[in-house]
Amino acid sequence: MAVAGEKLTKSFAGVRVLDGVDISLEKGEVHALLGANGSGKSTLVKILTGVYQPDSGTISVGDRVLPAIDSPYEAGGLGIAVVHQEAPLIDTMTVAECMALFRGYPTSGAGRIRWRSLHDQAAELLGRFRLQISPRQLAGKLSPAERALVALIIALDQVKSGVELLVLDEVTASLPESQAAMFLERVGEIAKAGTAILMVTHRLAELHGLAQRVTVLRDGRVVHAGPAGALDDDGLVAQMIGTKERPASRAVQGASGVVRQLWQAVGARPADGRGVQADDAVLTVAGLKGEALDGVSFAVRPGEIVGVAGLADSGIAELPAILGGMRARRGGTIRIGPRTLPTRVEPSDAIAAGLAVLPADRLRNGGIGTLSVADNVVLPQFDRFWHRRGSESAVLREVISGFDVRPPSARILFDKLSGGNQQKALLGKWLLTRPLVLVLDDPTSGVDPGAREKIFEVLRDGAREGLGILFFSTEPEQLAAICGRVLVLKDGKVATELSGATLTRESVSQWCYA
Amino acid sequence: MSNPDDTVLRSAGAPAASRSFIRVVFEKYATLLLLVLLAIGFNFATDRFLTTQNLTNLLVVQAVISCVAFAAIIPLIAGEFDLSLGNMIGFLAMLGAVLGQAGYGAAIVVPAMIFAGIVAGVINGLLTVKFEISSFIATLGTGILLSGFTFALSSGQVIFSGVPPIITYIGQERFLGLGITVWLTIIIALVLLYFTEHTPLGRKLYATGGSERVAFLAGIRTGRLKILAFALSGLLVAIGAIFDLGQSGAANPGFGPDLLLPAYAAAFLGVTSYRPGYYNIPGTIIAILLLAVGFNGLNLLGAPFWVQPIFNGAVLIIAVVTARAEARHIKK
Repeated sequence: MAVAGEKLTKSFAGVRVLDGVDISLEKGEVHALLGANGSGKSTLVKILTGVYQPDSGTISVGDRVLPAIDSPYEAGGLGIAVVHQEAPLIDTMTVAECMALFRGYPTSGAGRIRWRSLHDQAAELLGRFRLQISPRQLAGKLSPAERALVALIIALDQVKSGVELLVLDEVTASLPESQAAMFLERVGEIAKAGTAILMVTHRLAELHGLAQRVTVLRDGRVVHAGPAGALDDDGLVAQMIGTKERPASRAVQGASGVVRQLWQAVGARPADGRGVQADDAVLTVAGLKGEALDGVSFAVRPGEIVGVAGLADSGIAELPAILGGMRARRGGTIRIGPRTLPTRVEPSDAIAAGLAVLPADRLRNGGIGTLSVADNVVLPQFDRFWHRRGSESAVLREVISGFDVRPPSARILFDKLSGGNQQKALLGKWLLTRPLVLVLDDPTSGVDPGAREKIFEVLRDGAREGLGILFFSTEPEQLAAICGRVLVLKDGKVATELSGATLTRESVSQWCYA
Repeated sequence: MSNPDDTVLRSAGAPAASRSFIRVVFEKYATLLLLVLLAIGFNFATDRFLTTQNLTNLLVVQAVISCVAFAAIIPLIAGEFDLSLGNMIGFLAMLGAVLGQAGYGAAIVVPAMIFAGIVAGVINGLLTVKFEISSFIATLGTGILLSGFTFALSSGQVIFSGVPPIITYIGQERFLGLGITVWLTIIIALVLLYFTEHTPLGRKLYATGGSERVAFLAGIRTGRLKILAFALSGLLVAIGAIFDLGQSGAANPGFGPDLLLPAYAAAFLGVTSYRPGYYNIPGTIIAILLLAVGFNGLNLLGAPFWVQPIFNGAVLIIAVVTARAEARHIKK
């Protein structure tokens, strides 16, 4: 046995994310670690690589038994190497120099870099893994698979004394399938040479013929562990998502009317001045094409909550950006209410036409941390509230009390709010623009369950007011909980539409992963 | 999540009022406090400080530097640097002087200077926004270019004849005891205060400086806004150039670059007061006065010439460091 964790337990802020997890990794095996978002897999990986320390349990490496690995540096000393999704390469430097940043530059007595031996060393390392890459190649010019492989070499090279365990943390998630296959082929060879490999992935297809054993985590517990052939893909997905009750949220139909009050405070409703016919679709997309999207068509009617699911390479990241005017499209039409958007649009055009996007990556795209909550919420509407400070504070009061933003003050800096409260404020910001259709891109990531319920409540309320909602999420459970129907994207197209009885989180997952 | 401290904070009532007043003074007006203390100190140290003559002279000298500092602040709020300000004011003053010497009156000279200032600003903006050059580099380039134009216009000579009389009148006459340029600077400051803090455009500038990406996603046309900021900056520099031309009645081809660093020092020092953490007009004015009073007082006390930059540099560094420490203290 190379590396093993026993009864590993870890809590954050009183929430138990790992609960007595056992895992053992044998020499020469590829071991797959599966689990939905929030299942605890990244926490487990971080414990095995020294980023986190477990609250209880033990880690054994070779014949040493430890209560914890104190740092990634110590993990390296123990023979544990890790490759992350993001390759640690600097695009403007050569491959040899990128490697030297980790292993050190060979220097002469006078401190001058010995370039020839630097390049020779790099060439020797690349050769050992049979990589056809010149050490003088700029890292920015590497293909995605080459990047991943160079990252792998750097990681293995970091471990000076015999590699006990190689952890691949969703390394292939951003690689196109053919590139991933190239990468995984090499991984298989490294395993055959006697290294234990722990592979975290979302793509079940990758495991076939590569992984010998599988461990599935759910809610911080091991729910399945066994040889790779024991369960088929459907069985694995069922284990990942479980079959427990849906969250209570579906039953709670919060009839709060906050959205109506909000629009009352603004003094206008979404349809005002936009020439909307009562029963028109609020969003009609036809034949939409982009980098990854390849002819997507659908419509959202007033009062509908439509979910969109898909894996990272399905084009799911591109769709909200194109709808919101943040990225150009290559073809197809977008109609918001009665208005067809021109080919070249900016976010201001989409907002004016009645489409608001709550973007993913709240830290970068969400709010302005150095400004107040008030400035952030009113941001798209500065012109509207000029010389109408009274109306502005009425609207802010509505957002803060109606959406339960805490602490309940509009003057506090946006940075000081927790993730959930930031998201509630941002939801208010976009509803204030009186959209006909609201696009939410992964709105609940990094949001606590209480805030998530509040956000769902507001969305249902908005739908009752006739708002069309397009809800992108990586969590099938949430899609099943709040959406009337769900579009599943695959290879840039709508692969299927799930609704009614066919819409369950099992079916969404199966369509995504299959 | 739910924050019990919040209720505590809000129910902090009357007994704490005086304490919180002192806190506000220290947090928002430490620089102003320092200014007052310095003024009191100089008053005791020399009886030549607190005289009408000295104070009005002191203020007149600040009109030009204030305009350049305001010109620095507007792009700073939007998250951009304009390093061409110093050379630009030299160029615009020289342009005015050359036109005056050629026999043109104020009706031509003033609009020409303002127009040239705005054009220079728009070029800075276009280079930054459309060509996506870092404003630091773009404005460094235009600044060097402008200094070349200044020498070309003047053949390297000081021009001290032909400045239109209206311009010298503005620069040298007084109204209610204060120089006309001081009054005009006060009006400009009030307009800019209103613009930055109370108009949608001002709020959009701060939002763009806070996160250009978020502002853009919120439908703000951040590109146009930045070009506008640079154009406004050019306009303010032109006004400063008119003031200078009037005050000195001449244009020196070496004038300008020396104003750049003091203007930025005032802008950065201004961040420590009025609206701590944000570039703001009142804070900048306090900073300009603080540096001016320090200069003036030290001069009157007969301090050697090299004490001046030491005082300015030390004040800037200490103020910014203490403001940071204070900010960190509040966060905890």
